[in-house]
Amino acid sequence: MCDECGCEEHKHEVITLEENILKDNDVRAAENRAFFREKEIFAVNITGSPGSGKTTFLEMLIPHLGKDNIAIIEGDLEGDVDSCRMESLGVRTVQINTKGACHLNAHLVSHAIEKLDLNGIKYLFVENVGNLICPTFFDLGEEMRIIISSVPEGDDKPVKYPPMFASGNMLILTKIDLLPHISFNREKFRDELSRINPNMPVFEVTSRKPEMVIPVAEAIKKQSKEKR
Amino acid sequence: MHETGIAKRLLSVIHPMVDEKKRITRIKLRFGELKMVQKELLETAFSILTRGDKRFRDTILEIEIRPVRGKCNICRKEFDIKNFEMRCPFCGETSIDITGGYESEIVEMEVEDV
Ligand SMILES: Nc1nc2c(ncn2[C@@H]2O[C@H](COP(=O)(O)OP(=O)(O)O)[C@@H](O)[C@H]2O)c(=O)[nH]1
Ligand SMILES: [Mg+2]
Ligand SMILES: [Zn+2]
Repeated sequence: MCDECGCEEHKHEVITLEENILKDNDVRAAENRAFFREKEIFAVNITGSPGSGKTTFLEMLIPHLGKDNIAIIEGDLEGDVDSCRMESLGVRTVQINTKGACHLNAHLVSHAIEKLDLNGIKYLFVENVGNLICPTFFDLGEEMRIIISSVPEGDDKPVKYPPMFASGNMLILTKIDLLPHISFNREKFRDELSRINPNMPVFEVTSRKPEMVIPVAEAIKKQSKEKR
Repeated sequence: MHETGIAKRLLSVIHPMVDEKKRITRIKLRFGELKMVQKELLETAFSILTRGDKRFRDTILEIEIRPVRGKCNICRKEFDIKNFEMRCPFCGETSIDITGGYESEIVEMEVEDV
């Protein structure tokens, strides 16, 4: 007789699994990280909302790190708009289309790397799919995670999506040229960030003044030297 | 959003373990708060992915959410992190490691013969 429900015919069984459902990704990410370290490539995962200015930020950053030192992986649901933007700057680029998935994962990145000529590459930037939730949980094997947040998205994004903002190593506030036109409370934004991620450096940029990314480029260079 | 991916992973773990002669009555899952899993979304994704599969008829998903845990690098104490306050409640330091809150585990499942 079944001791769960007392019935005669069913046999119940409890199977203990204690298994990490997302283990595959962590294993792959660790492999990617080991690969990057061996090749002395500093890998950066760029995340943020759609339209926050991720691609524009990369376009501004590239000249300051040297286009021949950089490789780019572009992640989008569909299309190759962003990889075309990168290629037109003469940067080695590969596009990943996730076909509906809202984040990149370590597996997709490991295949994208195979398609890139990494000779002489010092920095690999991975532009993640625009989303403030899902990419948070998928380690790609990066050394650094940069979160892009733009003024028109509002100053409440860290309050609404704390896990993403807690997971970053650097935050870039973009489109600050729009500050006079939008009610965005910088103090509130920064206070919230320092609560969620107290030691994360914050930089402000705008495409109207591309030279504003120079301190960012310097910080990335410094970080990458420390890792070597 | 990522609930669909989680449901797919979950099924890829379970599928090889149950044949047509079994029905899964209950699956116990554990997620850390940082995984931001929405119970209703996960249930919806799960029921869509298992539609028409007799092994998953009326399966109950039991979902436990674990708090975010931190450990202070200065005073070495451990604590629950509430409202993403990334600061040690004992000494006020911000140099802390997150030690829990990222869980995504299938804990156990209950199977009956049909
Ligand atoms: N005003 C203003 N617009 C910007 C700035 N940076 C990007 N944009 C615009 O924002 C839109 C989205 O930018 P994009 O870099 O493609 O965002 P992504 O989807 O995050 O890669 C484009 O129309 C850009 O021209 C900025 O600093 N100021
Ligand atoms: Mg883009
Ligand atoms: Zn402490």
